[in-house]
Amino acid sequence: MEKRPIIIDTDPGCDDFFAIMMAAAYEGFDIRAITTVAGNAVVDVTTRNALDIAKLLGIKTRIAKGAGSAMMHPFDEPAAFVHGLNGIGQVVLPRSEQKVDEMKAWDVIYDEACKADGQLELIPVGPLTNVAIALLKYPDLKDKIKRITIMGGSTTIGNCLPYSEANIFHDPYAAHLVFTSGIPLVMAGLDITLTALVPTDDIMKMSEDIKNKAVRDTVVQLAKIRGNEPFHDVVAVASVIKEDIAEYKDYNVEIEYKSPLTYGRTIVDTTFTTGKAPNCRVMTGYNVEAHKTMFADMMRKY
Amino acid sequence: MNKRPIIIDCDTGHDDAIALLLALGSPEVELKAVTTTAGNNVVDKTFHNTLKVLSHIGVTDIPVAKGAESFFFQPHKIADHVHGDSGLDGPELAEPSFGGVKLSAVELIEKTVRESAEKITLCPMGPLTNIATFVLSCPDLLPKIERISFMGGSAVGGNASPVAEFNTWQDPEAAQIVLKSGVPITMCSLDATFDAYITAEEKERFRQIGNKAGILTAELLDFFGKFHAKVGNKGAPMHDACAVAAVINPALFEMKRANVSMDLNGTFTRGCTTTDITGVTGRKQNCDVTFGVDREAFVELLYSAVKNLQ
Repeated sequence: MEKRPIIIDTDPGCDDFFAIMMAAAYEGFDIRAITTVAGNAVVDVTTRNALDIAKLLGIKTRIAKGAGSAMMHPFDEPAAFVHGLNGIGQVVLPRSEQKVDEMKAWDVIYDEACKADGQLELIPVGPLTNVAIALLKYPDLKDKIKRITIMGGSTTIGNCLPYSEANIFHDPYAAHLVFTSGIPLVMAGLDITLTALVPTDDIMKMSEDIKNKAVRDTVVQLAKIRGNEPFHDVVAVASVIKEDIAEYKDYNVEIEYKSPLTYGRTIVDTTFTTGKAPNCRVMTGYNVEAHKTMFADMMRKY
Repeated sequence: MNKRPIIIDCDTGHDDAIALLLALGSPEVELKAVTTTAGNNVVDKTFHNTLKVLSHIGVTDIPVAKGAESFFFQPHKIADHVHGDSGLDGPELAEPSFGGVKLSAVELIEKTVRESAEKITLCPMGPLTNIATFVLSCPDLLPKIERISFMGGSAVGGNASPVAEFNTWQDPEAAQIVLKSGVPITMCSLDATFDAYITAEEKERFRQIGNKAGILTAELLDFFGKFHAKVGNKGAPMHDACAVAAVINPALFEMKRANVSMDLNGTFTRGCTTTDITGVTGRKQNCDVTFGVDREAFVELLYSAVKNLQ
């Protein structure tokens, strides 16, 4: 089987860990790079986590550091509460000796897109800053990416503002650039990922199938910290592996980046009132049982 | 004397062309590269015009790169009412005798800064799209930028809207990224650049130098001056040349330090460089803003530069 080239753009992150874990367990992927962005923690920390997660899971790929903050706030200090926290609930991973790639995240995305001859898929599961900077720096990139499947946005409720989901909320300007790029997009929105719950008790049971002790210990710790909350980011990866795990509809999606009340909201035109052409395949339903099966299968790969 | 290495980012343009002459003829600065952007006209034209101007005065060894075709969050609007169809109407210039580099504008800035032993000063004089993309994509190189001396913005008034200057109005988000970059900034704003004009008599002095650069300057002013006479300006303001002049000799300008923040969301004020002269906002001062210019000294500086050229 021809392996599909992908890049995971991520801010690990608890659910990022499981997203990376699922991608790496799937034989059909060729993970060309993991690129990091600030989000769950400052970018130096998310990059450290990405390196260590790759080591733990045996992923051999380039890991490149990306944006330290949102596009329009280049040098604002990140929120104080994330300082000192490692983004993965203080779980300590074995330290990787791998060096961060010499190129920046956006340069790596472009580099790999050129090498992959139109076949590269991006799976961003954090703020979209790196992808936006790549699009700004390399205007021809939009013709070189096969598809972008994001975890982010929502058709209904949000988690940062009433309607605004965190990944889009953290950089709506970047999201706007990605959503208007013309690249085929799939959106795993919060309204859908909230349904993809694998109860902690189930994960504990599944984790008994993990042969690698270090991986098993990490999974158990992260699952406990997370409690009975869905791993949102995993949904994006799962849907790229198994497209029919979800239902989709093509809609026009616009990003609000000005209004204080709806900053970062994904305006999904489900009633076709704007008359604008669809630019995004939006997840509208999800097979949670199949998701649990994929989760259990994933554990057995380690 | 150590020459200060500079990169000009322009949308040539009459006053851009004159800024290039000022840089090339001034012993105080060394022009390392020129990058071009959409602005006064589409980037294909501003790029081509830049090559034509440099070729005309025999400068064919400076790397020139094509940059942004459009802006971050709004479409491009050209200013052909000011600069004509070609973006540089007036002088008859031959086709360029050299081509640009294969790199994009941002890649050329990145390469030039990376390879330079000294810090580089950037002189943008169009919309700040290329510079903002550089700021976003090369954060590690920002400590190697000595200063960004840009033509754009206004504390009071505007020329694209009642309160906004054309360059910052074209790509306000890019301007905001540059203003927040942490790099020292000189904002050569309309408050001073409108006064950096050249009179009809002075124009003839340039023509009488008799060299290609002098005649080109006069012919650029012949065309550019018509528009400005029509709208009632005192002479042809050399807005863009101020970005270079403020690097060569900052003392030509009356400067005030202020916080400058872009208005991104205003219904009537989008693109305004909100300049806090009194400190009422308490925001950190990030710019040296020009509020006046020693006009005659500025013209003399330009005159001696043009005289130094072919």
